[in-house]
Amino acid sequence: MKFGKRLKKQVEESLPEWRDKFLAYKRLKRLVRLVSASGSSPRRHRGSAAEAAFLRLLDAEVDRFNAFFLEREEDFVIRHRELKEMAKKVAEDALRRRPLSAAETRSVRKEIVDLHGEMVLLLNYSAINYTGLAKILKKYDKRTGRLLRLPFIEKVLGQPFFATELISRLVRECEATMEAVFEASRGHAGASAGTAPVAAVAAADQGIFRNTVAALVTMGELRSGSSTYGHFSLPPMAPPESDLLRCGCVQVAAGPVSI
Amino acid sequence: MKGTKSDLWERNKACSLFLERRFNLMQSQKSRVLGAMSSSLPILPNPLKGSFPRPCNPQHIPMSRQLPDDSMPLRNDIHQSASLHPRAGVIGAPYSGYSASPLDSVSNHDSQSMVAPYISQSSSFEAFQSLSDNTPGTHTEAAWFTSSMDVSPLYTDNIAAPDDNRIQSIRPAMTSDGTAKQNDWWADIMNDDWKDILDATATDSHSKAMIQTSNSATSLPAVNQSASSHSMEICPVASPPNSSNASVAKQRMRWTPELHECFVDAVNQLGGSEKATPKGVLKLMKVDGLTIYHVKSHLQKYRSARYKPDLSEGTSEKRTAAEELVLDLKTSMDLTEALRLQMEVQKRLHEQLEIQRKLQLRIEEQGKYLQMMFEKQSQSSTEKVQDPSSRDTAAKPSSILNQSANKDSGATMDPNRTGDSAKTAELGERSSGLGVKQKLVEIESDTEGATDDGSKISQEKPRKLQDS
Repeated sequence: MKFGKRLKKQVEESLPEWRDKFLAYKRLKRLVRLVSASGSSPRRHRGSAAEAAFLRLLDAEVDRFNAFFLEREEDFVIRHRELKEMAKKVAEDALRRRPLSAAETRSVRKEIVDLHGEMVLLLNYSAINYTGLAKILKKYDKRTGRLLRLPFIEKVLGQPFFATELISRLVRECEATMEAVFEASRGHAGASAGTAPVAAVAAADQGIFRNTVAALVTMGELRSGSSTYGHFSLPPMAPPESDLLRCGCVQVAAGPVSI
Repeated sequence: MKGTKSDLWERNKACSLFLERRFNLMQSQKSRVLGAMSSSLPILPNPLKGSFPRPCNPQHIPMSRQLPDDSMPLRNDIHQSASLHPRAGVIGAPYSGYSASPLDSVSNHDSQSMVAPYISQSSSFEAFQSLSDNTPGTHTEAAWFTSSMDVSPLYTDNIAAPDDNRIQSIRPAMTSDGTAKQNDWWADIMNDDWKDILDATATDSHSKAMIQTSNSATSLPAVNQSASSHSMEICPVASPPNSSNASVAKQRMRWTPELHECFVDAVNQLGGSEKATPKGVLKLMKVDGLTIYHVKSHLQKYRSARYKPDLSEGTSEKRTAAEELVLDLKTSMDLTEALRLQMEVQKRLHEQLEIQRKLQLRIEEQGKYLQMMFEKQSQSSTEKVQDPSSRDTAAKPSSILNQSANKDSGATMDPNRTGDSAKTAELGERSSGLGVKQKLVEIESDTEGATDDGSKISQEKPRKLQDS
């Protein structure tokens, strides 16, 4: 499958508010075609107009990514802090033998897991867009014989949306917080019988979970080899643990996504 | 308790420091922008730099509209744009100045005076006076270009260790097209209308060169959308049509946990998220460069983040006791499982993304290194051109270029080189093959350790070298 199709699939699977925030790959591709179609001479009016449009669109896209990414990041920072406070409260209450209601514990846990999930999806967002940019730049260079790719990618590497270290750190902290919460309120949960998850559990879970699974699948596909495999391509992903994904697929197939 | 005064003071200082740094970056960008237009104005050093000796953790990158187009390193020594004291108004000023006022005089020399009227319109007149004053090292394109080349090796450090204490500066573009860079900055300031005007009336060759290449250079669409027909090309998603003035006020801020902590403290001091006002919070935080818009929007987000959890707790308790008991037991177990599963999948995705990212960075680094090396080779071999080899290479530069372009080897020749130097670059590959080969082998052994691609590189490069 071509990248464009994979991207489209990924976009479809993503959280609704995110769907229009991804790279406008198709449009960029069209522009590249226009540029090369009007001949190799850069002086030709049509060609240079398409080129200018291409460059402008690229910049606009990067702007968009940055804006969206920073906005989400801000949101995550806020939520993360709130959840940390709540987790502390849960831990304290558990210690003091004054357990929160199961509902509260549940909601706290769910929120942590959801936040974790959304953050990882944001990382995925960044990665997908980066990949798309790299690909379209490669196409552009190939079609026009220019050398836009290297300098532009350099620029991209320095962009905020690609500087994902903070989010990564928050993700790890989230995992730690999760551990703490699950530890603290283990008593309330009762024996986890490993039963099949109830589909009635909040649809939001489904949304994030489904997206995550889809993202993994897409990533695996993207990296399973392409026609233009070169030393700028990534090696294939290690095969995903099949049962993990199988469970995921069962869940995904279980119900429509509605958030 | 986090509320002690000294803590707050520390944190405020920390906030201020890394925001100042961030805005220093923005200022340096501005100075380059202006430097592009006026070539001989000195710059004043930052009077306040001494007052913030302690380093902080500025892990965020400054947000500004110029960001996507800025490809120059932010080294003070190169541009002599010592950081100025950032003031919130400063950021907004240039854009409102530029977008609002039409150009009357358009030649390059006039462009220097063009800067002045806009400066006077802004509130931070002095700041820009000093900003536009660069020390008389010539800020010609060549100077910028070579200085970026000098600095670029240092930036590999940034790529490898992004978590360190330094500001993540913008990676320098490896383009050897100095005019393209300059046009980026030029395009930053100008919108399309101005380009047309420039087209029509420019007489100076300098500005002409800039105009010609600016037609194909990247511009700043989000800011300049207003009258342009090109706005169709741009995703109409988030940016309002007439965003030039709106975006001025809303320079994007990168909210780090530390900054947010600062914010929360201020809010708590003011009696909570409902009682606190943006103005009060802004004052309390005492963070340079933070505008009331930033605080306002952040406060809004903060409020809704705190309001929702209360809501959900409330509704969940509305179920009947019996219902709740049954549901609790069943759903708790199932939920735990579901959550665990979800968490597992998420962790895995995260892991994979991290791996992928490291690889991508490494690959780009390699590509840059290769290109640098080939360029170095070509420079050194320009001195020792050998006739027989040059005949060989004369025949094949285009095929090699194609090969490079297709395989994305990173050893591509940039378009501005003349045919001669391209040939000598090829020469560099062949005649000084031994040194190059050695270095390649070193790189390959590095990459081979990490990825499968290493084998591809080692296959490609020696093949190319042996092709002569």
